[in-house]
Amino acid sequence: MTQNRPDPSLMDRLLTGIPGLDEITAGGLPLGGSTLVEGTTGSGKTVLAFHFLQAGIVAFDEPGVFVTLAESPEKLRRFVTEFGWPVAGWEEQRSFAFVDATSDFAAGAVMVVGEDLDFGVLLSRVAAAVERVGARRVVIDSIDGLLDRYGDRAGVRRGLQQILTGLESLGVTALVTMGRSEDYGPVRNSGVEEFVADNVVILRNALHDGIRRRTFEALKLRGTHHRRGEFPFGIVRGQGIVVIPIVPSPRPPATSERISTGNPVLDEMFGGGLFQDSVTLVSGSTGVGKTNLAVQFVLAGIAAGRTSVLVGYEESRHQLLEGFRSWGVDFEQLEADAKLRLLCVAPEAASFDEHLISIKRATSEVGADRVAIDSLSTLERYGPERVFREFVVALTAHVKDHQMAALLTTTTSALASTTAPSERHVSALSDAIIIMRYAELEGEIRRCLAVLKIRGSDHDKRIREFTIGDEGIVIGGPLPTAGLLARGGAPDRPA
Amino acid sequence: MTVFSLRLYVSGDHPRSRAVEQGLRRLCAERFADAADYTLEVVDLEQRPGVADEERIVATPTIDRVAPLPLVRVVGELGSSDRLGDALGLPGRHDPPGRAVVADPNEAARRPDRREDPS
Repeated sequence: MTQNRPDPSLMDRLLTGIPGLDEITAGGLPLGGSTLVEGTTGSGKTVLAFHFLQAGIVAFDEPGVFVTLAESPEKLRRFVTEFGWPVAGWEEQRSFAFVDATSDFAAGAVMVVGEDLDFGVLLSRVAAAVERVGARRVVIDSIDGLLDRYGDRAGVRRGLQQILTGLESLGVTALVTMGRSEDYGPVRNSGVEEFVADNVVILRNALHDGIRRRTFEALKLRGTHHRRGEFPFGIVRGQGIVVIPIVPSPRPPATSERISTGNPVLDEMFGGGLFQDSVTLVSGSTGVGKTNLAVQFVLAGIAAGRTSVLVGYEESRHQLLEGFRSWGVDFEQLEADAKLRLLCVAPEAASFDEHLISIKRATSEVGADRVAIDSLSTLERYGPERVFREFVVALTAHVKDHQMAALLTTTTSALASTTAPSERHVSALSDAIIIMRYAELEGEIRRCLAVLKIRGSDHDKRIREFTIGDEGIVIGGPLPTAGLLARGGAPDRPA
Repeated sequence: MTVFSLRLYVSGDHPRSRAVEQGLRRLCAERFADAADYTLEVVDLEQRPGVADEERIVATPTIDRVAPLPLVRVVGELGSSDRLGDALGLPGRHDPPGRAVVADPNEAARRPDRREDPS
């Protein structure tokens, strides 16, 4: 029940969906507020602003409005084709709208600017566009457009304030871009910071020793414990902005500590168990026993005096507890003793970022050194593959950074020979792979498993039959003939 | 003579909108000898919100001189009706009709010949 609801501390935040940014800002931008994006020319302000709207539309079904004060909509549509963003398509399906507030007079016309400008009409235009598409996100790009055109004067600044205050009353979360003349110099003295001073991020593209390096810095964000300092980012063709939330402290060295999978025979097959900081992929057909293996793995950690987190995306908490009643383990007591955390979340209830954040929170709250996720392939269906891949990368980085052991399951159809994207992404990142399949033998359907790889150790290469007993998986001898294993499709095995 | 076509955009029926409108009407009455020489349309953008998008209006008041070309757009208030009249190139004072005046008070003084062309 409650676990399907987003965490209350994240309620006043808006996950941007921009890779890496939500990690650095510890959950996104202040919801319903305006965030100022400062940067020199070419620092990526417009790309970031556009990506903010793109991610809203694609990942969160949140329409957006782009108020352009500098480049024409025409030019912007062309500009973002590099990232594969179909702006015209969004406009057609009414999930996106431009407000063209570029030069407000035709070419060849004469423009005379006086005093006491009232920007209420621009605000009304923005409000109308917000209403038309049901926008949750608004971008104003860039404030310099107004300052350059109407002069950097007190009246114009008041006008800006009028617009930004008005945005708040529209209930949208806004990104407002503004130029700076130097990467590390003072900001343009426009007074803009005075009224959006709560939230400021800076994009830099500074030259260090002859090499340009793009960085993202969350200078200040209201009510957040965002990460300090500059983080590298890239402007990636076909993707947009990718911020790399590198860990500030040097990574601890990999351990050589071996741990039990929870199954002594499987430990033997791995040549003495898994490594403590490792990611193990369990690829299996539906119902073959992956959840059993995941639960055994989690309990083995607890038996060794450690704590574990079990993340279930396929079953409700109730179903999960019911299913393992026969094992004679009181999961609820283990939770009460803070040895275990069951995180049962409907995959559609949250975005990948939110899932990642809740996994991180659960593992850090109980100080887990094991985490099992059952299954990744269920989760994978609820978002774009690109975002899922980033989720997997961030998840495995989190596991390694905290020297945890992770066991991730993916479901492979017994009938299809294609590999699920989750397997492709995870198998490359995993240290060990177990495959579990059904085999047809002597007119019977039997279960079998094999260790496909383990980094840094020898392993049993035979395919072993197994059964599921009252207390989990019981591994038997090698399967006499094993030609059928491949029918389920083995995951790609990186060289 | 050339017929002037002016359009005033305001937002809402406020005292300020009315003051701007009255000022412009007074100015036109002063500058044009004949009421048939110009048209003045007042558009309240609150009543016709689509017009702001079409005409790309960002701030009010905005006054467009739609004819004669080139288009002249005055955004904000210029402080005096003389300056506004000059900016819009209205007849009857400094400048012949049809000539746009940029908001540079020195420019008129720099022009060598301000007499009417006899042809």
